[in-house]
Amino acid sequence: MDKLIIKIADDYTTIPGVREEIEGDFPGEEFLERILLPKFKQALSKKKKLFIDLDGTAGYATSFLEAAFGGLTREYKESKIVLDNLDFKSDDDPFLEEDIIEYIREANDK
Amino acid sequence: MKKLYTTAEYKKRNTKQAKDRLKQRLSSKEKVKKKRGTIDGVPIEEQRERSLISQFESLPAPSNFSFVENTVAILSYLELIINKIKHRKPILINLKEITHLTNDAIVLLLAVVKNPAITKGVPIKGNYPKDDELRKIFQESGVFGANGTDNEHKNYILTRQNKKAEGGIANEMIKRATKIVFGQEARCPGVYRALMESMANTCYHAKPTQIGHETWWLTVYHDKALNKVSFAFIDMGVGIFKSSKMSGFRDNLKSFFGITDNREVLKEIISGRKMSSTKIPYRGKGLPNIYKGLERNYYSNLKIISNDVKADLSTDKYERLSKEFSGTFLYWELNNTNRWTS
Repeated sequence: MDKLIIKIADDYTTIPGVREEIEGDFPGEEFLERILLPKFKQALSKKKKLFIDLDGTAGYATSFLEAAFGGLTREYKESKIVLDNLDFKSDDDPFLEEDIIEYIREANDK
Repeated sequence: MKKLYTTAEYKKRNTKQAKDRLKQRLSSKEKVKKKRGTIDGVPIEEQRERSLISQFESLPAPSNFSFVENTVAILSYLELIINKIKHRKPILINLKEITHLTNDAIVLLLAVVKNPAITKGVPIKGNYPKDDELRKIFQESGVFGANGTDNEHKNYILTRQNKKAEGGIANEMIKRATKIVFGQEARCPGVYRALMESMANTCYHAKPTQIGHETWWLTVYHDKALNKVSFAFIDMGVGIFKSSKMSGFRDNLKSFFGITDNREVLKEIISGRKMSSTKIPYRGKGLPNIYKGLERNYYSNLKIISNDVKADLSTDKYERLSKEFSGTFLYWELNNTNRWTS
């Protein structure tokens, strides 16, 4: 299965913010709207996986990740479709993928 | 008329007046001499400073000026400062006699003396500790002067403030800290996460009715002897347990589990154990994840002080404070055993 790729450090920012724009620059909600959601839709329509490269940034706030990946899951109402169509690379922070999967699984509990 | 000057009555009166004038002149001379004695050889700048300071009420600070170690004494001192301000008394924060200092107390002092909502235009001055090393730390912190951003040449302490979550500031502080601790500029995703979550909590929860109105303060201090960098973060909002986000969660902890003590509430927040069972739409994953950073060895010696709780999460020690702190304080250290990435 071929892949579409988002490298957050190149395609968005090296200093991701938090959840909402009111809290600061480069928020997770903006990343979801501008980059993640359009690319995910594109990946689904092309029957490709979306590969997220998380390396190269200063790090990620929990609220950024929850707004982006939890937010994506809330768009699709269920976590399975998101989990089945996303792949991650995170060499900088080995715990990140596990955290994101948790946010995706818990996204619709809110 | 001339005859009058020679009368005995005039002579008597004149002699008495002359004696009194002489006495007054001598006493005045004595006073001037005494006053001059205290300032002889003192530079004019210092003389002006002394004269200005004499108009302020001096409040001697606790000799152990550390918020994490001497919490209640520092809170009492803070309360004293705030009370004097309420009575519109100009105050002098007298740090001359302090013998021990940690950067967390500086960040607390910064959050008070640089906050116009607290100082309300009341003049506040401060002096520096006698101890050379402690004085340098204070001078570089900018507590009693301009807290510029040009700290490039300074060795001890960096301070930053803002109202929003600023990734640029977090990144800059981490780069500087890692250069000291690891000998090269590096990234610490866990420290970045903790800083961003702390800033976001201030922005959203410190004053729930006014998003983005509360200022956060951060100091980063290099302890050369122990080769560690400590991060002290503070906001003077309502504190963790009085945040509106917490009210539903607290109510349910009380009704489901009988938990009312804030120490237990904090344990539950940190562990996330009872979060899901209370079915409260609590989306604040900030604190549990700051704790995860400690478990994952991104930093060490994590402490939280908020409202009536002081928690040392590294040793799992939770204390109830006899004096309440209205705000949220977080502290952690970065040393060369912690996780980082180049």
